[in-house]
Amino acid sequence: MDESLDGFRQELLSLTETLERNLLALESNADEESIDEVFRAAHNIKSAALMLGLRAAADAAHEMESVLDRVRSGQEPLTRSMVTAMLSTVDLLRGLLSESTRAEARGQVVLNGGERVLTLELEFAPDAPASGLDPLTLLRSLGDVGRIEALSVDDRDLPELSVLDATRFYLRFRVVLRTSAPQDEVAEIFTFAEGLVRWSIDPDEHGTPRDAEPVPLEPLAANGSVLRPGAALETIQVPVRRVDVLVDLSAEMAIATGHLEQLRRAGIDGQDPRMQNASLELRRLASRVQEAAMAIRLVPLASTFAMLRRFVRDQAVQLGKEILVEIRGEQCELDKSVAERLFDPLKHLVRNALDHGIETPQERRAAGKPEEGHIRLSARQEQGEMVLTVEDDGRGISVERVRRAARERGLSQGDAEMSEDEALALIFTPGFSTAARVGELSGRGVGLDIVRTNVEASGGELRVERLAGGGTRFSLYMPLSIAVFDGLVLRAGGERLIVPVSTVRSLLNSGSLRPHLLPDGRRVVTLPDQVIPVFDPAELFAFEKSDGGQKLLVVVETGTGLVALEVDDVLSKESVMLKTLQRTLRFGDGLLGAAVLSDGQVALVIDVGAVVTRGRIGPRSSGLAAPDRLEAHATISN
Amino acid sequence: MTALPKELVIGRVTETSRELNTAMVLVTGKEGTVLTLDGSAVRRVDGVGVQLLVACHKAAVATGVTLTIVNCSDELREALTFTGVAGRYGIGAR
Repeated sequence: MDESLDGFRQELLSLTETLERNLLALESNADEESIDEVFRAAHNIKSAALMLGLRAAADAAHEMESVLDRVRSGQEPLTRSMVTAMLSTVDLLRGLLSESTRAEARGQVVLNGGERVLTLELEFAPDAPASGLDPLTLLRSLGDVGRIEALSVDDRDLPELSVLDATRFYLRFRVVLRTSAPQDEVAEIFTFAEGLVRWSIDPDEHGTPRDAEPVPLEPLAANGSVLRPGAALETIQVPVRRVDVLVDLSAEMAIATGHLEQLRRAGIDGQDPRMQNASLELRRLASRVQEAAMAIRLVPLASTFAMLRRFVRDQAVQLGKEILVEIRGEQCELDKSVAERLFDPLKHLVRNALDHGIETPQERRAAGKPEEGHIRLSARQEQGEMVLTVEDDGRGISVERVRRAARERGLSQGDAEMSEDEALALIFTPGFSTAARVGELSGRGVGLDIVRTNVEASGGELRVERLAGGGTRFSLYMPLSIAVFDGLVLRAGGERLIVPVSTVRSLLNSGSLRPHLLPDGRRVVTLPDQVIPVFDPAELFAFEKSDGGQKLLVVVETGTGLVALEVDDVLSKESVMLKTLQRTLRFGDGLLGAAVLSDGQVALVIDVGAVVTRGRIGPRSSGLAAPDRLEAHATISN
Repeated sequence: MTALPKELVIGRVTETSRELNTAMVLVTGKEGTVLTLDGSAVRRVDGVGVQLLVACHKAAVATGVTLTIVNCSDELREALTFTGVAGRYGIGAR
C-alpha cells in the first residue's frame, strides 16, 4: 500500500469517528448547527474518498448528504431510524476504507435498510468442545445478528463410530444467514472463539452459488484482528506535544552525550565527580526518552468508551429499551495493545447488561424505577492497577435463581445452601445460564467464562458485585504497565504529591470548613450534605510536618466514598506518566507510584483508595455511616 | 430399544458413545434391522451430542441398519432440527 494513500485512509477513518460522534450527539440535539456539522463531516469524507478514487465510499457519503439535506431543508424530520441508517453507513465506510478486509462494496446499500444473505462456512478445532466452546451454542448465536435461513452439516471428516473419540469435534457447518447487521458485527460472534473455529463469509445477495471467492476473516489458531471500528489500520495517532517532547529530549541527549565525550577527551577520570554527574545525567535522559517513546503508544480510553456507547445505542434501539450511558475516567490512557485486549471483554459485559440487566421501560415503570436505564462505564487507577467497571441499574443477579440452576445441573453439593459468593462465582462456569429465555444478545451461557479467561490471560482479574438497590457491577482489574493521566500536583509536608484529577471532586479552604476531632481520634469535616474523614498526607506518609498556615482540603472520591486530603498548597495540573514503585520502598500502601513533573522533579502519586485503608477508616457510600454521622454532628454542635 | 441419556453433552458423551457403539455392534450384519433410540429422557444436547447421533446414523447406513429416534424430547427435537439432521432419524419438525 502506497504510504501517502495510507495517510489519507487514516485521515478518512478519523473523519468517520468524528461523523459517528456527531451523529450520536444529533439524537439528543438536532438543531441546525448540529445537522450542519454532520453534513460537513459527510461532505469532507465524500471529497476525500473521491480524491482517493474510492467510488463506493464517495457514493455512500453522498447518500448521507442527501438525507441530511432533506432534513435541514425541512422536507423530512430527523428520525431515529434515519440516524440508525446513517450509523450503519459509517460502519460501511469504515469497512470500505480499511486495509484489513477485502470488503469492497458489492453494491450493498445500507441506507435503505437492505439485508444481505451471507453464507458462512464453519470448521471447528477438534478440541473446541473440550476447550469450552460448544459448536451448537455458537451456531445459535448467529441468530442474534440475523435469521438463519439454512444450516447444513458436513460429516465427511467424522470418524467411524467404533473409533470415534466422542469428545472431539469433526463436523463442519454451512449457514445461510439473512442479516442487515454490518459484517464486523457478524464477525464479532466469533470473537471469543479465537483459535477454536475457522470461518469464512461470502456475501451472496441472491442466495445462488457464489461467483466470487469467500472473504476469509480468520485462519484457525491464528491471532488476527477482527475488523472493528478504529482498529482497522495498524497506525496510531500521536499528539504533536508527545512528538515535541521526544524531539526535545533527543536534543538534550545529544548535548549530554557531547559533554561526556568532551570530558573523556580531556582525560577526566571515571571516578571524577564531573564524569559521574555527566553519566548520571545521560542515564536520566535515556530513561526519559524511553518513557516518551512508550507514551507514543498510549491511546485514551475515550475511544474505547465511545465505541461502547455506540454499541449500547444500537442495541438499545433493537431491544426497545431506553438507556443512558455515563462515562467517567475516559481521559485515562493505556498502551494501545492493552486497550484493544480490553474492548471485547467490556463489550460482552455491556451486552449482558443490555440483555439481562436493564429491564424494558414497562418493567422499570412497574418496579417504580425511571424508564430510562443507566449503564455506567468508568476507569480509575487503584493500587497500581487500572480498574474498569461496567455497572447497570437493572434487575441484578438473582442469587436464588443461580442456586436453583445449580441444583438442576447437579452443581450444588449436599444440603447446605450455597453462599452468595459461591453463587456469584458460578456465573463464570462454562455453559451456565439462568436465563429463562435465550435473549436477543446473550443468555446462552457463552461468554462470561471466556471473558474471565481473556481478562486473566492479560494478567487481570474479573469480579462481580450485586449493587444495593438493584443492578450489577463487573470490575476488570488490569495491571498497569504504563499509564498517563491528568494529575493535580499538591504540596504536603515539603513533598510533592499527585492525585488523579478524575478523582477530585472539590477544593476547599480549611479556614471556612475546619476539620474536627472525633472522640475516637478520627478527624472529619462537615460538608453541606455529609461528614467525611480528613487525612493529612504528610502524617500518613511520615513526611516532615508542615509549619502551619492555611491549609487546603482536596475532596477526592475513593470508590467507596469521599475523603478530604489536607494539604499545604495546590501547585499545578499536569499530564503525568505513572511509574510504579518497588515494593521495598518504605512508603508501602497508599501510593500508586511516582511521576516526573515538567520541571524534572519527582512527585509521589497517591492511591486515593488505599489512603483510606492506610488511615484505618472505611467511609460508606456517602461518607460516614449514619451512626458515625450523627455522632460527628453531635460532637461538632456541642 | 436403546434409551438416550438425560444429557447428551461433552461431560457424558464418552459413556453414551460406548453404549451406542455396543448397540450398533449387536445389529451389525443384520441388514434390515431397525435400531430404535428412545429420546424421551434427553434434556440437554450440545454439539458433541448431535455429532454422536450423526456418527450413529453413518454407522447404521454403512451396515444397512435403519436408525430411528422415537419419543423425541423437545430439547432433542430442537437440536436435531436446528442442525438440519432431524430427517435422518425420521423426525419431523413440530
